[in-house]
Amino acid sequence: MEYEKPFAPALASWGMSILPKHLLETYEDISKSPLNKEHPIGTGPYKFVEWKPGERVVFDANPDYFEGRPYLQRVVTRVIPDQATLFLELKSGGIDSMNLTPLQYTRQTETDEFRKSYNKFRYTAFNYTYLGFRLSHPFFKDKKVRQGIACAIRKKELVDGVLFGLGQEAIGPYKPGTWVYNPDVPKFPYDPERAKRLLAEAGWKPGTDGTLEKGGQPFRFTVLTNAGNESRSKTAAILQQHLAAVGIRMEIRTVEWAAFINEFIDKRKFDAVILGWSITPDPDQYDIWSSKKTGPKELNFVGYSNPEVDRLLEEGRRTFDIEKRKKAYFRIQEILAEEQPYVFLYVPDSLPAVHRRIHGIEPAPIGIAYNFIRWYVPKGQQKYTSFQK
Amino acid sequence: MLRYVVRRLLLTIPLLVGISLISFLVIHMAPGGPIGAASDLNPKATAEVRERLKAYYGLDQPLYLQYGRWLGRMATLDFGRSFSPDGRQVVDKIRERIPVTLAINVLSLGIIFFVAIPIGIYSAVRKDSWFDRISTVTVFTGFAIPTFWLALLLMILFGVKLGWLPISGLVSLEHDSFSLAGRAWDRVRHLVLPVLLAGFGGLAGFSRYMRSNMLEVIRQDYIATAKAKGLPERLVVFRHAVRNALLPVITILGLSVPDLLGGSVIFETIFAIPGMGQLFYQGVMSRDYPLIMGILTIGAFLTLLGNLLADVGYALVDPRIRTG
Repeated sequence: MEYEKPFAPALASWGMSILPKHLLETYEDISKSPLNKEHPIGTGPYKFVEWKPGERVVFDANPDYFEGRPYLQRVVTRVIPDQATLFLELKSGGIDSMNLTPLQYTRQTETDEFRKSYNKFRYTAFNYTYLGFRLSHPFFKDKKVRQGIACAIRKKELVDGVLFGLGQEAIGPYKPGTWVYNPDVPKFPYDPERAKRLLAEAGWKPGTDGTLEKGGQPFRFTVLTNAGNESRSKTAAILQQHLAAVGIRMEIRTVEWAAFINEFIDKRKFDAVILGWSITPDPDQYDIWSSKKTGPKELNFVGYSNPEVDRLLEEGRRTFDIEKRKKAYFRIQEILAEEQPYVFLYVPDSLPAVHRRIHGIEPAPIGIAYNFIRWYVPKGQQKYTSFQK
Repeated sequence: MLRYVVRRLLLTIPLLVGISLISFLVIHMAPGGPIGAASDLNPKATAEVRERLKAYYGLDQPLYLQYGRWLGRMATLDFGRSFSPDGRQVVDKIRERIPVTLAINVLSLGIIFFVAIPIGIYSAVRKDSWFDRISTVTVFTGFAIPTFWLALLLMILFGVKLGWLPISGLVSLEHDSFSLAGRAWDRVRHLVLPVLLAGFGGLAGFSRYMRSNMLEVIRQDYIATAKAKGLPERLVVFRHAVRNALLPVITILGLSVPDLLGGSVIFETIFAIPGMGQLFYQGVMSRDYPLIMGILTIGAFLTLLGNLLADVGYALVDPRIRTG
């Protein structure tokens, strides 16, 4: 691969495993090869054994893996669509590991019985949830309105109510604690008086029933989020209360995912949305914030545009010098925090539980899965012995 | 009779085409499309990638052409390939789901018949007795209780507390290493809860239906005649009443034919059973047009077939209809 200009996210963006040439070259169109769909072959720590659609995928250790053979001989991933069933399977010993919900983590696993069999882990997840505004909307065009809304929101209550305290308040689009995360950005902490003041400066004054008005128009808007995401709908309900306290009437509408994207996001038919982004290892967020990425189907659907951010985004992706990149992204975070195109709400925690039989887990900031090939079950505690060769 | 059957069968062809056309239009009217799952909010999916994906699936052509091609393939019973990333044959995807769905539905239908018919008969014969009242309350409880809730309670009791039954899925992790008998037993254990629950929920409709049929028949003159002849009650009930009360059951059986292959999404989700319900649900959610069309067509065909079977069956057992 050759690029005309340096492109820092390049390596991470390829993200493709090594393909077996000898099995693919016989096909003119490699998308027709059964390798892709029926029996994948790669160079990873585990070999594909079997896939039963909707039921399970089975993997066996790859003895030739370049970092050595993984200790766990067989790994089975089961498909269990329902959270409650999943949790019961864990409790009955039918599965060894799952990701807990905050509710399960705080209220349903704090028993000696559970602790006797399972280890619980907790680390910052690689995603955040935000309230995004359509910036061409007459209400949200004004930075003061967005800052006012930010001050009206009590993020701590969101973390407590939605995540049962298992997460942290977000102030920007990066993961707290990583090299690119800037903790010293302009902040708009919860302060309803300041919120009212900022909104008043933007021309929004309380009307007779307490709802803010400007030129006879009440401050009413609809926030959209996708159906089936419980934490987002809870977030919406709490935000509704917060905004009502400063005189803003927010309606909530949840829409099925495909309709949400195609009918509302793509057509820019929304006032505000509650959504989340995952946080990638490379800090390049050109697609989300660049003013060149506001076209149809592109990710800057809120229509954010700031020449300095545009320039810094270019700068950040055109150099491999980590200090230079850090400087660019720190500045971007300051600008975003000041302009509040999104109100960054929270970063949740990942909450895996793993059976105590499994040893060798060493929690790190990145999580627990990074050393999966060195997990093991001591003799004596091994449960599924029929797989061993 | 034969002419009638042949005529009805031929009539199903335009009906099927009509149903498929409506289904096709409706699913294409739903917002979004098959490539959305891979390309929405994906920074790597550029406009060019999207166009190529559309062309790959033939979605860039006008709708009537797409339908025409689908219909042409269907004429040779080719369901086409799924639009999901696995790209497998729709027929294969449906075929692998049928056994479990069919097994659960046949077994639970069996339970419903064997339990609901006696309940219905006895409730009618002993109308307003204690048995009638208790059974009424029980079957309606089964009907009214949300399946997923009862399922969770039973999972907690039999799976977690007592440890007698597995909680979800079709087989144990080590299923393949069991003996033949062990494997069969393993499957039975996994099916107990789903089948019982599906049966419990269906008791109400059927037993009430049987009861009201029975009450209707018991009022007839020929029953009074039979009683007046001095026949023992058992004979009156089983020979004269039940046989006639069972007639409408044929209709229900006919209408159940498409249900045999239709799974319930809630039910399969809670028990993590990879059945037809989940397949269809996922198909709809990912706008997998060939898969949706395949399942809908099979469902439509079975419905029409079930209706025909019911009509024919009715004619066979009831002389009044045959001559009329």
